[in-house]
Amino acid sequence: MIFLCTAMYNEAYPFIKQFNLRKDTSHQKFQVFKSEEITLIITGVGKLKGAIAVTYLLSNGTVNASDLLINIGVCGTNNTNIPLGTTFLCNKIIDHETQRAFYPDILFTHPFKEASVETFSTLVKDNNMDLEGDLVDMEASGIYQSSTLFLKAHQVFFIKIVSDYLYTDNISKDSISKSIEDQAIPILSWSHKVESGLLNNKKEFTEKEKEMLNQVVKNLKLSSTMEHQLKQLLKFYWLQYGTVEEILKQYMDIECQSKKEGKKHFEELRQKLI
Amino acid sequence: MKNLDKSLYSPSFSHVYIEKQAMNHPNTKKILNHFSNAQIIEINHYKDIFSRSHQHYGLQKKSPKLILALKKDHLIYKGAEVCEDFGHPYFYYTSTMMNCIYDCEYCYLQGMYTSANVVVFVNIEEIFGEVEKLLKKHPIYLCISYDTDILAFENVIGYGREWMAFAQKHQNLTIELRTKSANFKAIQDIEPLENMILAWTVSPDPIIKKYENKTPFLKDRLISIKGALDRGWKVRLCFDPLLSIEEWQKHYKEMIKYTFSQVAAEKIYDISIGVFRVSKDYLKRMRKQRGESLLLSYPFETQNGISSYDVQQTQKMINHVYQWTANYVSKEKIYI
Repeated sequence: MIFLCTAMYNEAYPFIKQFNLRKDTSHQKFQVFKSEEITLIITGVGKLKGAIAVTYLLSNGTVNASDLLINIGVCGTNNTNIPLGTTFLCNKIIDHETQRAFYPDILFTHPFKEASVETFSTLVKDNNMDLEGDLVDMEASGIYQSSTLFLKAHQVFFIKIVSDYLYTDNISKDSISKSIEDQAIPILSWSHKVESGLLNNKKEFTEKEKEMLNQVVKNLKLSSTMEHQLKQLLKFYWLQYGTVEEILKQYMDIECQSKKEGKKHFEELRQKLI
Repeated sequence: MKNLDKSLYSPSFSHVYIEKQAMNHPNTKKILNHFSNAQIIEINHYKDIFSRSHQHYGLQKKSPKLILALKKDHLIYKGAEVCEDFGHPYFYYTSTMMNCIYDCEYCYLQGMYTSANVVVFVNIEEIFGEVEKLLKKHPIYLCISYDTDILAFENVIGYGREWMAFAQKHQNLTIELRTKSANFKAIQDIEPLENMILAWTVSPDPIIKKYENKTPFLKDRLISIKGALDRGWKVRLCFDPLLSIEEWQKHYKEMIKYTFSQVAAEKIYDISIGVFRVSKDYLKRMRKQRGESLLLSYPFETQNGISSYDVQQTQKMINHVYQWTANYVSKEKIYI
C-alpha cells in the first residue's frame, strides 16, 4: 500500500483526480481517499495535525514491509535560484522549534533533486530570515516522528514542490494544485517501483505447519524454552528441506502423560532435525 | 534479482553524512575527494543517524552510506574474551571505523549495530594520543581492524598507512590489522615493521561465494598474502570462523592444501583457528535480520552467553583443521 498524506485538499486533488481515488466515508475525523493501491489522507496544516493524522491512518490496520508513506506538499524557500515548481526529495528534516534533525533513509534511486527541509509551527513570511533548511514547510518533522513508529526510515518519503519564495500572498488554491499536477504521475510511478522492489517474498511455515507445531508442543507437554528450541530446530530443517509436515506428523498422535515422557520424545525429535 | 537491485538501490556511499564538528578536519576533506558526486548532509552527532532504532540493516547493506564523525569517548577498548589474545597480557582493540564494505552472512556486526552505514572517525590523531597514554603504563597488543576492514577501505581513508607510521614510532606497541581484502598493493611501498602483523581471514571459495558477499576470492587474498610475505611482513592466517556446512571437511582440507601451495608455510608468522561463535544476543538480532539464513538457523548451543556449535562438533572441526594445518606449519605457531 502507498500511503499519501497532504496537508491541504488542493495538494491532494491532483492525486484524487488522476488516480480515481474514492472518498472513504467511514472516516469521520479526517478526509481519506482510496483506491486498491493508494490511501490518501488530508492531515490539515501543521506538524501536530500531520502527526495525529498519520498516527490515525497507520494505526487503523497492519502495515507491511513494502508499504510506503509519502508526504507530498508545496513548500517555500528563500533561495531564489531554485525555480518555482522544482520537486525535492528531503534527506534531512529539521524541526525549527526543537532544533532536532531527522534523516529519512535514501536507499533508492529517484528522479528528484535532494534538499533539507525545516519545519515551522507557524507560516514563515520573512524571506530574510536565517534558515537552516533549504526548504520550509509546516508538517515534515511531525509526520516523520509519527510515521517511524510504524514504518522503517527507508519507507518514509518527503516530497516537496517549491511554490514560493516565502511571499505567500499570491498563492491561490488553484496554483497549489497546478504545482503538484505535473508531478503526480512521476511520483506515483516511482513509488510503485520502490514498493514492488520491497515486496516481501519471505518464506515461512504454512498455516498447517504452524497448527501442527502447536499440537506437537501440546502433545509433548513442552516447556516454553523447549518450544523455542523446537521452533529453531524446525526452522533449520525447513530451510533445508522446505517442509516439516512429515516429521511433525509422527508426533501428532502421541499424547504424553508426563513432562518426563515428553522430554524423551523431544530429544528423539531433536536428533531427527539436526 | 541482482540487476533489479542495482537499478532500485542508490550506489554505495551515494550520501555522506558529516558531523558539523568534523566538517573541516583534514581527513574529511581527503575522504570527500573520493565521493565527489555524493550528497553531503551535515549532522550534529553520528548517533543521530547511526543509532536510530527504525533502520533496516539488511536493506541498508544494499546502499550503505558513509558517516564522518569525531570519536569523543571509548577511544580504546579491552579485548573481548571471545577473541584470541595470542598470549598478550595487555590486549586492546580500537575502532577508527564501524562497519565494513563487505557483507558476510555470519558477521556479528549485524547483531551489534542497528545500522549498516559505515562510520569513519576522522580524528585518528586523538586515538593515537590515547594509545600513547596507555603505552606509558605498559606494552600493548592492539587490534585495529575488528569491527571493520580497514585495508579494504585503505584507498579512501589510508588508515592502515597511518597506523603503520604510528607503530614505527612505538616499539612497545604490537598491532594486528585484520582483513579479508586483496588490497596489499595499497600499502606495498611501506617498509615492513617488526611490531605489526597483517592478518588475513582465509576461507574456502565455496564459503566465500555463498557467505562472504562482496569479498575477494581465495586466490586473490592469497596473492595479497604472498605479496606481504615476499616483502617481509609478519603474516597471520586466520582460519576463523570455521563454518559447519555440508562437506566442510572437504572444503577446509582443500583450502589449506591450496593455501600452502601458494604461500610459503615457513614464512607464516602464526595461524589462528576458531569456529563460528557469537554473543547470544547478537545471534538473536542476526537471525531477525536474515530470517532465511540456513547458516544462522543452525541450532547452536549457548554457554556463558556465547552461542556456537556444540562441544563435540567444535572439537571435531578444530582438530581436523589443526591436523591439516600442522602438516605444513609447526604446532607452536598454531593458536586454537
